[in-house]
Amino acid sequence: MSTPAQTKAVASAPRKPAQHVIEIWQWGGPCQLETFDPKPDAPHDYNNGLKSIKTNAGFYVHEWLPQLAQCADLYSVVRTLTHPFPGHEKATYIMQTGRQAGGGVTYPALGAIVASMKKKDYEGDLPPFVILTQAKGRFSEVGFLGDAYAPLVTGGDPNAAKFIVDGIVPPGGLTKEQLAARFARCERVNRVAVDPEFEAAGAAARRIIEGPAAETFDLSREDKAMRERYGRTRIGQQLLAARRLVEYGVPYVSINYSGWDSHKKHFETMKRPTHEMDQAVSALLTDLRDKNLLDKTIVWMCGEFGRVPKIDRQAPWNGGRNHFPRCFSALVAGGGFKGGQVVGKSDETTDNVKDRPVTPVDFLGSICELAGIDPDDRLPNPKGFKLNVMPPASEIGRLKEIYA
Amino acid sequence: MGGAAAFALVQDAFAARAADVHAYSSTQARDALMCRRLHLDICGRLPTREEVEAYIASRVSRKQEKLVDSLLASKEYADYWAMRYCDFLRVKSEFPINLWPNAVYVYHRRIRAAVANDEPWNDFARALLYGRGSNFRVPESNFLRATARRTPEGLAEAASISFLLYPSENSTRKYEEYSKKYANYFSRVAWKSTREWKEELVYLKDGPADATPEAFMAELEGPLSKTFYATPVHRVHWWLFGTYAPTGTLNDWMGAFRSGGWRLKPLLRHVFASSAYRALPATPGKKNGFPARRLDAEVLDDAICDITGAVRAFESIAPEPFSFLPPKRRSILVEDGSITSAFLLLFGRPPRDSGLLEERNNAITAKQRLYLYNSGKLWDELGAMVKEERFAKLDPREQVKDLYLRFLSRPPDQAEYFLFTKKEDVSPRDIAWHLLNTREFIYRI
Repeated sequence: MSTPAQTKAVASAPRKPAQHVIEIWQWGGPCQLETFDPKPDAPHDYNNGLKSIKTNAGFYVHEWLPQLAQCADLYSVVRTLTHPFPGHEKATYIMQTGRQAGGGVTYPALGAIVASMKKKDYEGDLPPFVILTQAKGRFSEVGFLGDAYAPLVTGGDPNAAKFIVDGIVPPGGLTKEQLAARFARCERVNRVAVDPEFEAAGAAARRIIEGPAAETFDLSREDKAMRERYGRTRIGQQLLAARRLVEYGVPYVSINYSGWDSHKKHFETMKRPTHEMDQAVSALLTDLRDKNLLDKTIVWMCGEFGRVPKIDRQAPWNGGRNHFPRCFSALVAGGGFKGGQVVGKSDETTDNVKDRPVTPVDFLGSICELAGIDPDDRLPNPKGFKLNVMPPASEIGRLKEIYA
Repeated sequence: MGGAAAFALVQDAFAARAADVHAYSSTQARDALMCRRLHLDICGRLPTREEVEAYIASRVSRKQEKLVDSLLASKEYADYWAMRYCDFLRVKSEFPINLWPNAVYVYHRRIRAAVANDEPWNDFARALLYGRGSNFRVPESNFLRATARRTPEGLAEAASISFLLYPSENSTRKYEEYSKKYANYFSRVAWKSTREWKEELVYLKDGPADATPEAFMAELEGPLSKTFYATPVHRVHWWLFGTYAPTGTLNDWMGAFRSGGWRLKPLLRHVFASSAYRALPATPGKKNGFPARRLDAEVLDDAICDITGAVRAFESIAPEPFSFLPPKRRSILVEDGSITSAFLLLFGRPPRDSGLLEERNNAITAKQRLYLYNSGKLWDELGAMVKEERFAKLDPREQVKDLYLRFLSRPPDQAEYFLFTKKEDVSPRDIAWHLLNTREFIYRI
């Protein structure tokens, strides 16, 4: 047992920055009402008669999130993210880079920024930025930072019998010996002079294929109960793979989690995916806690925007919800974020921010700050641009109220 | 001779290759090398098996010059070099250039025509700088739209990058200077939309008569002419040799460019006939010899398709209107820099944001080698290739030969035949995998 003096010393010591970030990117934009900002008292045309449930931290989430309700002490909810862009591309751009699209410079996404700033502390063979399983569309995720911080995009399906990571897991089920024979033969089929750069790239690739990095993607090394706990769904197994990548040491893992763009028949289509998310994310958070990884791993989850609070009953939407960037929600956890808190307040329908708007810049800047990257510091880059990691924070500021 | 002795002999043969001279000691080997090099540099594709064999067998005089002429006259030359032009002219529909799809297609057609017709450099520049009117109807008007910053400074920078190449690693600073220095010439350029969706008219606002892109053109042909005319020469040197032209070469090539009426083809004929271009592959790190270049992303993608019979489908569902390119579209013919694929991104296709040559990244990376070693998609494509009837019925030795000609544009030598037909039991698909992963295939050497 520690003495009060020791406790004090520990408490006042500067917190160690988070070493890893897991981003769960809900491509398409999930609805704030059916996730973290339920409005059971609003008119039926807003909530479709659905209810909310009280979490173990005291705040309420939507009734579709029973498991996340049980571990709300592990995460906090931001209910007032806001920006002006209702189109996927510009909205994604600002939520990924903190910058507005346009102006001639293509900015790097947060994953590339974290990868570039944290690479010095990382010795793994896998690239410092990994995306499960598909890249996020056309926007360059690296921008001017250049190829060194481009994500490894895994491809494949972690929920399949074998998670075939394109490039890392050899197709055709080769054994280690067959693989070694192939590489040895490859050395000899080479007429032209040896090029050190080509050889170095090949050696780095072979280290990944033959070394422990490839095993990271072998989910069969997890016991059955653990796989079930995350859910035998695509998102469940992606998050399990994300946890394994964090254990391996990868600084930034992004899950490109599509399926949230519910223009039509929102309630019929979104219930099941929301349940899958509920199981997978609560499993990730509790698993990270159990393995003492949550303290050093930031988890954040949101989409590029939320959805229009009032349900559109007209054809062809038939009970759908369109894009809505004015007021939407996010989850943040671990790595220096307190759990059990709610940031910001929306009005009675989530049509407007009532209290404490959170801009994308303040939101991403907070993640940087807790990851030990000063958002107001210069971002070194090969083009020599004199730019900071993030634009300046707003007057209201970063999410300091939920820094642990 | 016993197996072990034979194997030692083969090992020696491989070891001997450290010296390139050895590998290219025969005329046949040198012919094959030049045939491949010229096809890649002029047409952005590998020669077919038939083309290599015919070239090696040909006894006509000045056969290399004849090959150069026929390749420069081909449709593929225009396709490939138009792609390069579109890189520095920033042809893309989306952010940050935002030409929009319809405009991209008319602009690309105009640029390709300039390449195909070998339009003189000054005439082409004039056409672009004089372009006014609708982005859909006057292709040239897109030049004054294709910039990330629609300001006089942004236009001056874009025009400088296109027409005044500054041969230095640190060109960004120079272009900042140019953007201020020449901004006035673009201060009257303005844009307005019409009632047609995403149509835009380029016009000049009222202002002083000397503040026009036309006046900038006069400057290019006057005081700035030395840099202006050296620009395509540096670009050609960069594309072929990977660096800006050193002074001696620049002077020599400028002579050919000038006497050819500032057209590219006479310059290229001169270059392809030069001893520097005919040199044997350089040893990395050493100065002498012909420098290797990793194949451009688009060229590599097309090469894999040509060899294996695979096809690509390019589409874009953002921005609207959606674009679906015809099936079997070659990657070098994808007009729109915004339409891309994971492969093209991986292999460093330029984003066409600035128009700087350095945007294209032909460096080899571990991720690229991972893909070539282990991609399931590629493996499937190799599998489909060896199942193809014409190939499957060949005897093993012929299969080895066929694969070498397809991938490396040359027949195998005795040691290579031995390795793949006698020494080890390697399936044709595996042989293809090995060849795909050689530097000889991935690079233009």
